[in-house]
Amino acid sequence: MFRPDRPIRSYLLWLFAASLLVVGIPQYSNAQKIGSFLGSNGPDLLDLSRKKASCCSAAEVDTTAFTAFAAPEYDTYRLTATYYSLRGGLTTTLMLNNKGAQPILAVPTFYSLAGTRLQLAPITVPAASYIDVDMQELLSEAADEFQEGSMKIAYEGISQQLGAQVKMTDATNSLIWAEQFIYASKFVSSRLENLWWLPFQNPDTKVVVSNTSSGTIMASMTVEGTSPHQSGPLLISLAPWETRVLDILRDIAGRENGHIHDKGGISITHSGAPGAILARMFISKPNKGYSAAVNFIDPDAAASQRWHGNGLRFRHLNGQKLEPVLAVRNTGDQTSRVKGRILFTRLNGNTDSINIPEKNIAPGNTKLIDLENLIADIPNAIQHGGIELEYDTPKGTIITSVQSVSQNGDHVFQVPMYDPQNMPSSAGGFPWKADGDFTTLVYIKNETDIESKYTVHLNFEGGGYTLGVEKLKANQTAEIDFRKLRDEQVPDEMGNLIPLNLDKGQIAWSVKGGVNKILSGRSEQISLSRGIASTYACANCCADSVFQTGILPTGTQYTAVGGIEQFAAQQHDINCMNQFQPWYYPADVIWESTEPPVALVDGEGLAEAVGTGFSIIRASWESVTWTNFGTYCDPTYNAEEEAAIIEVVGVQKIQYKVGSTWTDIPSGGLGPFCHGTSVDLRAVPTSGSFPSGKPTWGGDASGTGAEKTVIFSTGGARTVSATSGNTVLATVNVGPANANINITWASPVVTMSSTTGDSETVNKPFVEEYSACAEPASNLWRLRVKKVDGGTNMLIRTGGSRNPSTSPPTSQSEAIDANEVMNEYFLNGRGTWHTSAATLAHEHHHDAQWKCSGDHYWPATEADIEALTVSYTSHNTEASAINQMKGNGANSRFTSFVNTAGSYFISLPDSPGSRPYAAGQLVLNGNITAIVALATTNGWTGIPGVAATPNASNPCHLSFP
Amino acid sequence: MLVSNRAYLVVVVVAIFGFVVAGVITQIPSARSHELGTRADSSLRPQERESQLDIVVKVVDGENYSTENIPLEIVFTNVSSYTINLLDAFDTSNKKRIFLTVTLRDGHESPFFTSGGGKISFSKNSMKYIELKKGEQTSVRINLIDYDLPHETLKAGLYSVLVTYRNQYGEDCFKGTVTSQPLNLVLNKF
Repeated sequence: MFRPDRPIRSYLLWLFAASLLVVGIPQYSNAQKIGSFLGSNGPDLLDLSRKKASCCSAAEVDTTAFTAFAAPEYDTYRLTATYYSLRGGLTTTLMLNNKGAQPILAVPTFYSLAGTRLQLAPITVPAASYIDVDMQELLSEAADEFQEGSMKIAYEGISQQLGAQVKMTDATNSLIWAEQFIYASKFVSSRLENLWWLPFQNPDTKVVVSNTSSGTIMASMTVEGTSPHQSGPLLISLAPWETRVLDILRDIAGRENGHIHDKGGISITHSGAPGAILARMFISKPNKGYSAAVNFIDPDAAASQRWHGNGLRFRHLNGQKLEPVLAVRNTGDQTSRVKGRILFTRLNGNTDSINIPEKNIAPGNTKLIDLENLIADIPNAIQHGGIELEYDTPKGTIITSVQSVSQNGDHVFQVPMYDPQNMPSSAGGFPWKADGDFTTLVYIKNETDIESKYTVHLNFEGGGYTLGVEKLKANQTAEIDFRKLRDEQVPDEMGNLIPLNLDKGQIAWSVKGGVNKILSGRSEQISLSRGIASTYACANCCADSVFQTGILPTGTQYTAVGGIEQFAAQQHDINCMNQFQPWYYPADVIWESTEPPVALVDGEGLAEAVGTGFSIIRASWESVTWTNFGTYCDPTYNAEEEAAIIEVVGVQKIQYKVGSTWTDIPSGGLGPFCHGTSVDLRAVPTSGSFPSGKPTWGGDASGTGAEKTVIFSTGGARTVSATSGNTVLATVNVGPANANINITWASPVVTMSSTTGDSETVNKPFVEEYSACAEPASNLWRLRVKKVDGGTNMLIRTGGSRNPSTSPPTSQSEAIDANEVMNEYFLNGRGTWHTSAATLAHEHHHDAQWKCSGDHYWPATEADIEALTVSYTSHNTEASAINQMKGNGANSRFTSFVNTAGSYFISLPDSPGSRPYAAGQLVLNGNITAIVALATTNGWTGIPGVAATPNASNPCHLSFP
Repeated sequence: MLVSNRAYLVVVVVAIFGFVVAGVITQIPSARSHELGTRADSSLRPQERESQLDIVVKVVDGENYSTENIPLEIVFTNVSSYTINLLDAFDTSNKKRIFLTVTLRDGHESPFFTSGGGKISFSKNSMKYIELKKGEQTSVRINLIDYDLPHETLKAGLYSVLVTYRNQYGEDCFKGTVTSQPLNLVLNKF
């Protein structure tokens, strides 16, 4: 959802940024390294403050029209670092981290140890990124006195927008001292306290005290932890911007030949305003690779009697055992009881803790608490955890230091301790450095006893990567390693990857929900090969606010019953400096389907289609907009709602194409279709369009998609089905493969009559049956001959003749007469001696003639008949099509066939001497032979035998016209 | 139209010549025995002699035509200029189906039923002839119901019927095929 009250301002700020690019932003280069050298009497810093309306381009001026409740205040801010040095072969780097949506012009001012001031040209820090500036190069043209001193950074922008850190690295000895620039406003008193713990004897130590003001300040320094003890407080006068580098034994304790204990502390009080004096202790043991920069705190700034820390390392990155040590110093005047706990997360995700036994710390005393034995019970696979301490003396009387040191001293992991009641906003931005073997780890700790949520993103040029909303159990610490996610190419929840060649970016994190200052976060940069590690924490002015919401996937989702659609609400935020964060999935989304009969949705946005129709899938959740009131941030809760449509598409019906027109399939099914015909089928969705891969076809069809061409090559009642959740069936009747139909000739129906008269063979009317099959693509019905029945009826008259079989001759003369008469049959026809078998043979010959006549003319007739077609669309039933085609020519062609066959039939001779008589004669010859045999038996003589054996073959012996 | 006298003369001569030739070719019957032939005549072929014989199908006056009763009168007319013999073989119902083939057409003049045709083995000396002088007629009655007509499925309505007479038997008689003009019938439902 677009939120005009939030984005427009941001858009205009982007316009401003773009305009800067157009007109040309001063970029950091050698030519700009040195600005104007100002004398020590000059103003502290250039007056960078500008009116809001004049700080930016014309587009920015327009923003004044918006009285946006979250509008950040533009002002000039200053950050200060106690000490830098380019001497001794140190590689000194100034890291500038811009968390805002617009570039920053950072103006560096250097102060020599004596307080001489050098202001250089502004350095451009691009939006939402960080830069490392080589200070050797930056100050290469400066006077020698600027090889060492203190420095300030001024910028115009939003509070907390810029973070800075100076790192001094001795690569030869794997030493690093890192100091994060601070805003002077964090001090409330003129008192500073520190404590040290030295893992090795006789280290190099020095204390740097810097006057960050324009006035002379008197400072008193007391040290505990030397032998012999300090003879008395050291009183020093610090000229404006002067920095003193002091040796603890020689300069502070006054015991140049004394000994520094492994633990101790320094107290400073000064005459300046709070924050006017900064101090830092630098420790090194070059042959051990050990180094530490110990900060001084203002004990009066404490708001509680607790100190918390996150990212306490139990083991080294490479698995090497570390020695975690807790140092506690009582700066008060009464014994303090100190106790605490180490918190960690087991591999199964459960949180656990180990108590730090209570210790009594006498006033002025510093005690070491060895944590090594305590963490021995923590499984080896658990790398880190959190630490919490509490004490019972007044706030700020106990100060602590926690660090984990490798056994060889090469790696020192310091754990900054902070007052949980005095935390900045639970949001921040850290440089992400992953070049070489650098790893940047992020620790985020829940400082409360209830579960909390946060987001963490990696922003980089051209993209973003998000872990989305993560949960932290009570007091749990999370470690995030974006380098590992990059190397393993683990996609984020939106599917984005961190490019493998990416080695630089900016980590952004923020608490979620409407409660601020409940999470703490910091980053830790480590290089195993260089043996260096540094910590960095930079909070934002407020937690991130919602900028825009949405839902995925967008648009209407088509699916079938049974289909699953995953919906996801999405949100992207903007930090209090108008920097956009990547899209992520918000937590605690409530999902609802407006039409449960159509779709159900679970608590994770997983929708299941249960019925056809459409339903709105609605996501609602709560987001927060933070308003920055300068000293505090106020949440506004927003009821977010996004909706998507799921359309559950079933198969309404199946259609087929007739010619070029899609036509519904009737309930009784289709067809009959001609065997082997190709039919275009289409599944019609209940609404909208089918989801991908739907419908699936079955039966004689296969595959997916709305349209399907099917060749029906199997006869009978066939089915096709289309399934998209539901299944719609269609029956397609397919005719048999077209084959030549032979006339089915029935056996003659013989009627025997003892009467005298003519025998006859009469053709029975043919009975023909048709079928029709359709080719809808051609819009045709085709006629098919289903069967043709033919035959004859016979009337056999036996009267008027004596049958020699049943009434044989009884005398020689009768025998002679019988055989003479029967021998004359072929040429003269039936006589007084005859048999019904001979008559049957004669008439059967006619039957055979009729058959061969019909059989001869039938194939061509069938072909002619089956060439007939009528329009498919004009006849919606097979019977109608058949009737039409019978009238259109089938009947005429069949009648013509009957007549033609009949004409040929009667052309076949049927007079005595023809083949029908030959057929009868061949039967009578058997009777003649029998009488001859009878005569032989009876001794009769002169009996004629068989006179002729005529040809009765090939009934259709005449050529066909 | 102007036609010369010479032209008329040519037409008349050609007509007379054609008539004579036709008479020779069509074997004008002569007075011969009316008995069955006793010799084999395998070369006997049906001959088209429509010019000799004409048949007309007529309704029978006074009959109620229905799908169960379709009596017809077949009138044979000697349309030649001489006497012809007609095989007298119409006495039995079976014989009617041998020599007469009926074709029934529906109202759209589509033939849908054809029945008839066959062979007969005359007993000796059973053939008789009907002599038809020029212009003389003879008739025979048939009923289509006797032709295996599927009258059960016949619907009332308009039909037409054709009758074909075929004969291959006898001597010195009409042999061949002649078909009537269609006769329209309106059948009532029985």
